[in-house]
This record gives sequence, structure tokens and C-alpha cells, in this order.
Amino acid sequence: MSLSRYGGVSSMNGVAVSRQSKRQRWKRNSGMRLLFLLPTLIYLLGIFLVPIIYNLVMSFRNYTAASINGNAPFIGLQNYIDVFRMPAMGQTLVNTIEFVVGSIVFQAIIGMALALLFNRKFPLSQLLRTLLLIPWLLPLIVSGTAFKWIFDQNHGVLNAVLLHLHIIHAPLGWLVSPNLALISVIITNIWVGIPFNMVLFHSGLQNIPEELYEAAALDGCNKWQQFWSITVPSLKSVIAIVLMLGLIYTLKVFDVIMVLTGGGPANASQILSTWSYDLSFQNMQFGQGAAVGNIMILISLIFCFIYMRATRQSEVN
Amino acid sequence: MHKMYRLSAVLLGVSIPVALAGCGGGSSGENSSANSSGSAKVVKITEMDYFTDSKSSRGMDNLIKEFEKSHPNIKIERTPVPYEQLLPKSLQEATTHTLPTILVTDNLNIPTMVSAGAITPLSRFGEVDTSQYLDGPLSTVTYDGEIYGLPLGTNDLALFYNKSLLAKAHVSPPKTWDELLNVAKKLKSSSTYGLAFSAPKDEQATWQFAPFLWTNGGNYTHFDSPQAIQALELWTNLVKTGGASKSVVNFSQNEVYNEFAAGRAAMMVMGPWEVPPLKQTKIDYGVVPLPTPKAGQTPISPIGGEDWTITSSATPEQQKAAWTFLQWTQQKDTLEKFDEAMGYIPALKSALTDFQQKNKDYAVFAKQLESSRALTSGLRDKLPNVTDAVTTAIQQALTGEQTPAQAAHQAESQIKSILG
Repeated sequence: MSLSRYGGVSSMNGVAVSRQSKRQRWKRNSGMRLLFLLPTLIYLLGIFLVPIIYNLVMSFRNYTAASINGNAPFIGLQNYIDVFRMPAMGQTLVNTIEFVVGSIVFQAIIGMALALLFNRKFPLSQLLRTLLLIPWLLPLIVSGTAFKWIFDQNHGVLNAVLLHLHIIHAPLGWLVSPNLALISVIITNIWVGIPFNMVLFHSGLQNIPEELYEAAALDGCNKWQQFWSITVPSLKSVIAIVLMLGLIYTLKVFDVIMVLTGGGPANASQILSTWSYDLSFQNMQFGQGAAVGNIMILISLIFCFIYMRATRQSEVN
Repeated sequence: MHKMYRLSAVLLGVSIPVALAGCGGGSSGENSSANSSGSAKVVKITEMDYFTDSKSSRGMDNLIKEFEKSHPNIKIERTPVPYEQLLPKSLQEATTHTLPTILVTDNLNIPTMVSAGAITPLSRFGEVDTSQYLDGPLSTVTYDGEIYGLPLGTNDLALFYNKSLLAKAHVSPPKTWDELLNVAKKLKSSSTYGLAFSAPKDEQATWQFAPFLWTNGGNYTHFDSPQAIQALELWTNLVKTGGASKSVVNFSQNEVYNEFAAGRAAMMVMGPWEVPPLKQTKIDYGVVPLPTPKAGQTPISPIGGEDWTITSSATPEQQKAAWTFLQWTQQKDTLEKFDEAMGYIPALKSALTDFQQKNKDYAVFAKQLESSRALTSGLRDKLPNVTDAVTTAIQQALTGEQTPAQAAHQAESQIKSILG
């Protein structure tokens, strides 16, 4: 658009010129532009920055229930030292990694498989694809409650089915045994996340030109080779986005675990988000809760930067 | 581009009058309600509680309606919220000074609410005749010599049992810990567990474990004592022998009740608040004191119950109206009727005598009150932190992650650093 308006610029230095003119235009209209940016800026500051700064400040203070009334003394990094010394910290970190990796890997693989399936047209494909979106549309409290019943040791449907098929010989305590609680919440979270992955992959698949596959078929590639040499490279940016968003969404999962196990038994399914809530609203150690919250933000930020780095590089390429 | 600019300008133009209209609407609404009172000025106060189930919610609504009838110049607006949300919500509102005028506080949370500066000592409004109340319940609303609330009613824990299930298994209600283990095991069938109790990772577990711990001579301040470990072993063995479900670590007290009401548990550790709902089921139930370590001992139960408190966010005028309401609820007849509907035992001595004669179902609970004590006793406002340590230990022991002794030792070192 700018090229055509300022016309007659050779394509070689077109970039430089248009950048310069952009800067000039920016200066001319800057007052007006700022005015229109203002609502967004106020929104960002009020909704994001202020709470984050408040959380950061809180994590450096001995903030308990009594601090609501009086003051919260500054204690430097003590909250961070305290939470890292707690016995629950190691287990919570390991749980968080297992939860995030387990959820994302299976969500992506199953989501991709379903996307490939629905990329072909077959009878009722439209209807089935819509039905598969249901897990995503349900409020997490509802799906959590449903899974709580499915996983119930004594009258849950999962144990009933497995017992009937003679896969297990005694009912398993999906939510109440320390070895299974984390797996159960991961399974639930995978189920919740599949539609999101499927939709993104599906729309990515539709942008791949059909000719590529035709050419590959002529060259004698089998389906598997086509998938690895055409589909995956073409979807590179979509895959990056799906993994990135999946990581951030999964890191902050809260409702599912709260409904299913409350982080228990004995912290067996505790992850950083639920632990932060526990510290704040069960133990009334708001400073420590804020510290754990900030550790989560930090992890998210690190992956955000990696993602932005990667996408910028691929844009340059 | 230009289109976009125009659109946002239009939006901006529209949004400002809308915002102004919003403000205007709000203020005019308030004016009209103030005017409608006519000669006497109506004081509007707010109330928040966690009676969300239909029966007790109706009991609460009726109480307020009755009060408003006899006090036309006070209007009470009630907001019930789910139990788990009440404390976080009240603390958030305390930070922003937007608490309701009257807050129904679980007596376990009184110390926390006092240290947060959320509730006001009642001595600021008038005098409470302490001799009228039972000592135990009174101790739960007292903090540093000041009284912060008046009890809606009080409660404690006992053993409910399903008469027909016990008869079918040819057993009688257990009196000692050994009997409890045996009876629970005998009652176990394919569809039924012997006993249900509540051991999730929150205060419900601290509260339900307390009578076992205390009656055996243990204490939350010394959690690795032999008495405490024995109590923990009892709970662990109940689960290990199949007398109780492994799911107890995920059972809220509500779920414990549901198990019992559905016949999936033959006995449960529960308080009198489930008596009114149980009466509406077909279950033929009985109530006995909780089993004790040895025969003939008196069980020591924690004292539960909720209290009317007046918050610091309210204006003096609202606080005065709230005080009027609080005093009104403590009239003998009003309190008796209300407590019967809600499944409470009156903490007011004069109401208790009558109540006991009229309601035989509550006899066990009422009698036990004499030996009961506050769950917060000795812990002050550290109950939430101690609960974290204790419930982790209980869950570790119940799930077999650690032996009761190991779990108790770990909890004790945490408790030591909490209490200093």
C-alpha cells in the first residue's frame, strides 16, 4: 500500500524509503495516534501490568492475613527461599513438568491425528467435527465433575468397564492413589485440550496446496513420507503456535485439578498453580503464594522469548 | 485504515454517554430507595453466609424476613456464597473495605478474620452477657479477651449409623477403637463401606481428626506424640482393612453425607447439621458418641458452628443496625426455632434446656458439648498453617506413602517452625 502511494520507488531500496516515510508520518500524527492507543494502553496497564507489579511487590513482603489490617514487612527474597525449602516444592515442580509435557505431547499427537482424519471428506465428517468441539465448549467445572465421577473408585464408570473387560482385577483409586492421581488429571486435561489442537491443525492443513501432494504421489512417495516431507514442514509455524499456546495454557491449568483432586492426595497431583492457591488461600501466606505465582510467570516468559526468537528467525528466513 | 479510525471514534463517542448514563442510573436508584421509606429513614445492610443448600438457605431467608417485619426501618440484603469461596472472598473484600455489614463466619476462621482486621469486637456496640452462653462455644468467638461474634448455633461430631445395615450384619454400634475397626470391617460389602469420614487437604480433615486425636490425649501442637500417632494409625487401619473407602482423602463432609444417605456407608463421622436433611430420607439412623480408645472414656469433640460478626467495612449506622439484628437473633424462642431448622444446638443456655427436651435427636451432641473444645485452641491464628502440615501427614498415611509415624514426625517439624 505504501509503495503504490509513494510510487516509482525501485524494489531494492523500497524497504528503506517506506520505513523513513513511515517514521515521518508517525511524527505528524503522533498526537492523534497516541490518543487512539490510549484505551489499549490503559487496559494493558490496569489489567496486566499493575497486578503483576503488585504480585511482585507482594512476593518480597511477609504478607499474611494480618497484613490486610496492618503492614507487610519487606523481607527480600525470604519467601522464595522458604518455598524452595518446603518439602512440597520438589514434588510440585516434577508434577508440573510431567503435567505440562504429558498434556501437550498427547494433545498435539491426538489433535493432529484427528485433524488429518477430518481433512478428508467423508459422510458426517462435518457433524463429527462439531461434536468433537464439545470438550472445549464445556465449562471446566462441568468436565471436571464429570471426570470425577468417571474416575470414582467405587462407582465410577472407568473401573466398571475395566473390570468387565478383565483388564484389572480390583478397582483402581484413580483419584485417591498417589501413583495414579497425576495421571488421571493429565488424562482429563488431554481430553479438554484435544479440540483446540485439532482446530488449529485442521485450519493449517487446509492451507497446504493440494498440488504438493499430487506431485509427491507422482514421484512415488507413500503417505508416511508425504506426511513427514510435506505436511510437517508446511505446518511448522502452526505447530510452534500450538505448542507455545499449549504450554502457557497448561502451565496455568487450575480448575481441572481443583475439582478432581484438589492437588492431593498428599500433594501427589499438586502443580505450581494449585500450590500457589493453596499457599495463599489455605495457608494465608499470600507472600509465598505470590512468589510461586511469579515463578510461573517467569517460566512462561522464558518460553515466550524462545518462541518469539524462533518466529523472528523463521520470518527472516 | 480511515474506516477503522472513524469506527473507533464512533465507539468512543458512544461509550462516554453510556458510562455517564450508567453512573446516573445508579445514583438515582439509591435516591429513590431512600425516599420510599417515607418518614423513618431505612437503613440498608448487607449479609453474607454460606448456606447455599435449599433447606438452610430457606431457614436463613425466613429469619431475615421475620426480622424485617418487626423492624421496618432495617433492610437486610443477603448473599449466600459456596463454603470454599467465603474465606477468600471475605479476605479480598477486607483488603478493599467492601465487606458486607454482617458476615457469617465459621468459628475456625474467627482468629484469621480478627488478625485481618475484618471484624469488630462487639463491646464497641454493647454488652454481651457471657454468663448466658456455654463456655465452649463462647471460647470460639473470643480472641484476646474480646468477643467478636454471637453464635448462630453450635455443633460437634458424633457417629451416625444406619440401623438396618448394622442389624443385617448383626453388629451393634462400636464404643471403642477396636470395636470400630471390627465393626467397620464386618459392615464392608460389595456396595457398602463400614465407615465414611472426611480427610481432604483442608480444615475438614483437621476438624474430623480432632476428636480421635484429643480423646487419646494427643494434641495438634505435638503431632509426633505416641497418642497422635496411635490416632493416625487408627484412621490408616480403617482404610487398610477396607472398613473405610480409600476415597476418604477426596471426601468433603458433604460427600461423606451423600455416601451415608445413599447407603454406601453404614456409619459416618458427622455433626448435627445433617439431622434435618437425614430426616427427609428413608434411612433409619441412630447417633452415638464417637468411639473412644478405651471403654468408658468421654470423647472430646471440636466445637463447630457459625457466628454472626459485624465487619469493619460497614458505616457506624449500618453497624448499629447490625447489632440490633444480632441481639434480636439471640432471643430464646427465635434462636430455638432457627437452630432446629438449621440443625444447630443453641449455645444460649436458656434455649438449650428447652431444645434438648424437644429434640431427642440432638441429645448426644448436646451432652458432648460439655467436654468439647475449640479447634483453634492453642493454635490462635495459625490453624490454617497447622492444617497444611497435619492434612499432608494424614493423606500420606492413609494412602500408604509413609507410615503414620514417619508422616507424623514430618508434620511435627513443620508445626514446630510454624508455632515458633
